[in-house]
This record gives sequence, C-alpha cells and structure tokens, in this order.
Amino acid sequence: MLLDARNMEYTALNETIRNTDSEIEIINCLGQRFVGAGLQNKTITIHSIPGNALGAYLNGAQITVHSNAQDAVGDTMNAGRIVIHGSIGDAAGYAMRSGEIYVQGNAGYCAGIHMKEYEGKVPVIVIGGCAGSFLGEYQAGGIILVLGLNKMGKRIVHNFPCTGMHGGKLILRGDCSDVTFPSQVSASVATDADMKLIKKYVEEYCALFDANVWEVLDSPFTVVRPDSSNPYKQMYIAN
Amino acid sequence: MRRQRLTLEEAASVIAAPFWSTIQGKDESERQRLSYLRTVFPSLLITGPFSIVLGFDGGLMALNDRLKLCSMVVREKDDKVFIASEEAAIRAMEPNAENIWAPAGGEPVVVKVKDGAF
Amino acid sequence: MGVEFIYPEFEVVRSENRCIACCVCERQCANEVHSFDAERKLMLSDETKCVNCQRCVSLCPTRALKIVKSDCRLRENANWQNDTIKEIYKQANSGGVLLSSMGNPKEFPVYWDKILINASQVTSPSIDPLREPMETMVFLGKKPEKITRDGNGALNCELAPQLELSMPVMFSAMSYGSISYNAHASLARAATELGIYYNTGEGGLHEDFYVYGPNTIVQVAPGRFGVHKDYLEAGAAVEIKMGQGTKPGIGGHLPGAKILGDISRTRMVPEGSDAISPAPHHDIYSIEDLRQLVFSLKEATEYKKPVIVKVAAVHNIAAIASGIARSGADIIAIDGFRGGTGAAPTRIRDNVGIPIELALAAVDQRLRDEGIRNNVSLVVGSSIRSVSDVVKAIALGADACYIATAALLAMGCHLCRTCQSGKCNWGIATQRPELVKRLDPVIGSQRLVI
Repeated sequence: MLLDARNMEYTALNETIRNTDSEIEIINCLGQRFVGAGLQNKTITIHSIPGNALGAYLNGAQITVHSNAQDAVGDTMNAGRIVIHGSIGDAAGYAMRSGEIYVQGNAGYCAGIHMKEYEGKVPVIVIGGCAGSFLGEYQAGGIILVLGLNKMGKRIVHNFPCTGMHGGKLILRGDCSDVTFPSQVSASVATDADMKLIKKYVEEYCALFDANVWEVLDSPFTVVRPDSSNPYKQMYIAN
Repeated sequence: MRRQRLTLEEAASVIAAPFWSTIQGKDESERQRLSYLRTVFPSLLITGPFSIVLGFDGGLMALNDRLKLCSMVVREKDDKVFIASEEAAIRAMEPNAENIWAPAGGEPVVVKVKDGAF
Repeated sequence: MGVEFIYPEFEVVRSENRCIACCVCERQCANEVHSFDAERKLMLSDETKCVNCQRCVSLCPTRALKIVKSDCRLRENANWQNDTIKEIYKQANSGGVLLSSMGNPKEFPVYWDKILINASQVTSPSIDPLREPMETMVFLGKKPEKITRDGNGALNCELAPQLELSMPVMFSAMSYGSISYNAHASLARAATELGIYYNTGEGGLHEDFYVYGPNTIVQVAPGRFGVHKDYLEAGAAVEIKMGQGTKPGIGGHLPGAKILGDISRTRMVPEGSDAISPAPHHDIYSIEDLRQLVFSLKEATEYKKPVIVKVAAVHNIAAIASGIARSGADIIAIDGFRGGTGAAPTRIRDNVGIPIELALAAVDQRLRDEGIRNNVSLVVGSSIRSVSDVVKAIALGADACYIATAALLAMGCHLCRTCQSGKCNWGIATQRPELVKRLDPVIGSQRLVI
C-alpha cells in the first residue's frame, strides 16, 4: 500500500500503518514521530524524513528509510531490522535488546547506550560513517560496528566512547590510535574469530548499501571489550 | 558579555566549557586561553542540558551544552542558515537545504548578517 | 584524700576465657593501664589511667578486651551533669584551668545534618560520575575584576597566583609538635599523591619535608615559629593565622610534655616547658595593619604565592571577611567552633565561636552583596566529617574545605581527646619516639589517599 503522509499527524499516520496489511510504502513523511513503534510482522518503506523515535520498541517489523532519520531510532528495540540510507541523529538503539540497525552514513551522540544481550538475543548496530561522543555507553551486550567510511578528516568516534561498558563488543574499523578509551575496557586487534563475525556484518552492510566488501575489509579492525565482568565492584565497601 | 566584554566564542567556552582532558590536548596558546576562562569564571559553567539560540544585533549564535544532551542540527541554503532541533523542521521550511551537520557539544555556531557585530 | 577522688570514667572489661596473658596490652599502653601480675599469672588493669584510646582493644590478638563507660555515676541531674560536677572537682583538686583536646563535643546543633541536598532528576537529568566525565578541579586565589585584552584583542591571560587542587579538599593546619613527624609525613605524602595541599600549622616546617613544598601551605601564626625566608619560599602558599575556630581569641598551646628534641629545635623554645603563642599578631592591631602584613609577605615572596588569611568564625564574621577581602588577601579560610585542637581551655572550646555553616552562609552573602565575592576564594573547616558535608559547604558558597580530624581518624586516631598528654598510643599526637614509630607514614598516607 502507498501512503501519502503529507500533513498527516503522527497519531493518524501510525494508526493507518497499524491497520494495513503487511507492506506499506510512505511518501512525504516529514517529522512524524513514533513511526513503527512496537510493530511486528510488517514491512515499512519511507521515502523522506521520519521524526524521532522511529521503530521504538520494534518487535519484529522491517523498516527501510531512503533519507536521513532523526533521534532515538530503534529506542528499546526488541527484534526486527531498521535500515537507513542516510545518517541518523542522537541516541540510536538505546537499551536495544535484539534486532539490527544498519546506517549507511553517520550517527550522532550517544549511539548504542546500554544495549543488552541474553541467550541468543544479540542486538547489532552497524554504522557506515562516524559516530559522535559517548558511543556504547554502559554497553552490557550486543555488537556495535563502526566502519568510518568517507571520514573526510573526522575521527571515527568522538570523545568518551565505552564509558561504563561491562558487556558486549564494540568494533571499529582501523587501528584507532587516536581514540582514548576508559580504563575499564581493553582494545585489541581483531582475531580470526572476530573477523568471521565482522565479515558477516560487513557483507550485509555492503549488500544493503552497494559498497565494495573487499575495500571495506581491507583494513585492520579493533575490537573493544570490557576488562572483566564486574569492573566497577571494587569501588564500593559495604556499610 | 555585557559586563566583561567577552566575545561570543569566549562566552561559549565559559558556559559550555571543554573538559580539562580535552584542553590538555590543545596547543599552548589555546590551552592557556581556555584554562584562563575556566579559572576566572568557574561558577558560570552550566552543567545541565541546554540547547539555545542567542540573538544579537547582527546575527545568531546557537550553542549546545558540553555533553550535547539536547538536539540541534544546522543546514544551509544560499544565503540562509537554518537551526533547529529536528531535521524535519528544516526540511519543512526548505526542502532543498544542504550541508546538514550537528554541532558538537560546546561548539558555538555563530552566524552574522552584518560584519562588525560582536 | 576522699574528697579528691574522682571515679574513673572508663572501665576495662577483660574476658577471662579469651585472655592469654600475652602482655601485648601492657606493652602498647603508654598510659600504663595494663600490667602482668606474675604471682597470680593474671593481667590487671588500672582504670584510673585509661583514656579510651582503644589501642589495646585493637591489638589484642584474641579480642579479649573492651572499654566501657563506667556505670558508677553520680545521681542523675539534667542541670548538674556528671561531667560538669567532675570538672569542678578537677579544678578544686589542682587549681588549674581545664585544658582539653580535639573539637567541641557538646550537644550543639549540627547544621550539616539538618540540610538535605537537592538532586537532579527530570528537569535536569543527573550525570553519573562513575561513567561520565566529572571534574573536581578547583583553583583557589584572587580572580580579576575585569578581563583585559592586548593590542590585538587577544585575552590577557595573566592571573594572580592560584592554588590548583585536584578536588576541593585540603588538609588543615596541625602543627609539628601537636602531631608527630610521621603524621606530618603521612599528610605531606598524601597531599602530593592526591594533588591537594597540607598545612604546616604553627610549628614550622621540618627540613625533611621541604621536598613536599609544592603541596605545602606554610603558616605564619602569632608565635612565628620557624618563620624565615626559606620557609616562606618552600611552600605553595602562605597562610596568616589570625585565629582558629576552636578557641577564637586564644593563641596556640603546646604542652611541655610534647616539646622534645626536634620540636624544641624547630620551634626554638626550651625542652619541657609549655609553648604558648600570643593570640593576636602583635604587629597587627587593626584591619588596616592586616593589609600591611599581607603585603609584607607578598613582597618577601615576590608576589608568587597566594596569601591565605585564616580566621575563627565569630558573630561578626561577615564584616571581618569583607575587611580581609579588601586587605589584599587571595583566600579567606574560616574555621568554625567545632574545630579540633591539640590543646585548648575547655570553657573557650565549648562556648566561644559560631558554627561554620552559619559563618559560611553569612560571609558568602555579604561578599556577594558588596560585589567582591570574586576577589577571594573561600575555604572552610571545622568538623567537615564526610563528603556530604563538603558538598553542602560548596552549595553554601565555599570554594574548598579544610579537613583535619577526619584525616587523623583515617590515620588511626580514636578521638579519645587526650592529645595534650603527649601519650598518643597511635603515634599521632605524641613526640615520644617509641610511640611515633607506631605510625608508618607509608601506610598512613595510603589510608589518607584511599
């Protein structure tokens, strides 16, 4: 179904989406919020800018956006896939529990905060460009992969990545000698086992956005993990 | 700015001051300048979230807090600059706006319409 | 004689089945409370000498000892309390003026405990210091009234000399003499490691500690002990002690029992005789004279070091602070009535001065009203017990806090309040070498740093 969202309030837009069959294509979307919130069993394609909280609490639906998206993409997402042919704003994938977000371009501040994983439910965020400060803060599980393509002189991540990280993996393309990590994590060159995992997601990214797999893989990758399972325990004394 | 005649950029370095760890990484004269401003006006640092647009005679300054806890995006088109908290808002006014970027926390965006103002 | 007898305040309770008569308690107690009776093969205790420092309790290998408050009490009387009556007996017995150590123990309101701190929640979400950048660096010193620029419009970055603190806490003045060499060593090392400062107090600076100079505040008190050019040059700042909170209007007092060896040499006074400092600086008789002393010190140190003026908190502290701010001082340190001391007359300690919470609020407000708050930094001390007190003090307007009793507690003090005897079993408030060596400066400084 084709839906023209021009001048539609988000309540009406989202109600329409919920009531349609499994596939819907939206044009002239401009800033409507909460598109796809809590949705499952549907496929949505959007041709212009959706508003904040796209796919919040997503529960299995597929969302593709052919432009930039804004803040809070995939907030507390549980399952499903969001693909952005552009860049996104801040606070993407906050508290993500599973599912995938693929971003062709850059991400803003606070991406992937407090992602979690449990028994086979592993959330993944892949960012093709660069990420802003506070990437992967409080990360407790899941995978964040940043490729830094078309950097144009910017750093692959800005300041203070991984503060509070205590689970999961953060993978950056490059040797990351210009990145300062906090003391509770350790960064190392990707092992062969790591590279297998990386290859899987890079291939998927390149398929989605028409990029060259070999060019992307032709680079060292750095994997960041927390130093121990409870890096903050020694700070406290019972009283 | 009125009483001490600070420039817009200096005022931004006071209320959204960079972290000491960031200042250490700058070159000597920048380090001295930023340390001086932080030492003289420490109580004016605003630690909470804010996203403001300050108008003055001849232009605008947009500024986010140092941790960028609030949203802000900027786009341009010909001789116009658009500042908003959401990209959709800018597109609604100018669908063909170019060069979208989000300023970093504490980085002032100063747009002047007349030279010589501040 | 019966009329002179005062029942001891404390009783030593020894568990018979745990005591193994190892005599550790006998060796450890400088007050000679414990002794071994060889005939009966028993440890005995003479409670009349016990001060409740808990050294024996802490070191007994079988935890056989405890010190309890004696329940042999005079008849209860809310007005004529036991302590009040005993104090009169002590004075009648000796004819002396009551002398006490450490801060006012009486029940006066503690305003810190009546203040609750607001928390950021919804309208301004909080920042978690465990995981997000939290900066605690403070610069103490005079800030310029107006910023100036050079010919090209660039900022003129010259500032009056500042003290750079990694966090808004410093160790307050405790003189070498009132506390031991090892205690000073612990403080000096800890201040250096933490990036803060400690204060020499009135007793001068031992030459071994000149190496910690960059983290030392050297004090110039009315007694002027050990004050010479090298001393002034050695420190990072100079503090003029006008008064101290525990005994406003009274000078320092070091009992003869603590004037031994090094102390006698550093202070240049005879061994064994009490060293009493005058109360006022005898070259300052007015607030204008204070300005003269401040600038004499600045000239002597070539304007390279901030000058701190330390005063006791009294009822007109706001006016005093205003005068100090205008006298050229860079930092004002205010000491409240709960402050500690090595020795002070009991009646002064318990009845003179005002709480630091009130003094701080009054001074901060007055300086702001007069538009001179930025000319000086404010440091407050006296019974800053925990980090919540520090936060409340800063919220009330302080730039940093002085801690002393808390530091001593970290080093092992058990607040028995008999520092004036010089027999501190923890090696802190004593000069006897065999006791001083019980405090290991490496461990002491580590406990302070942590």
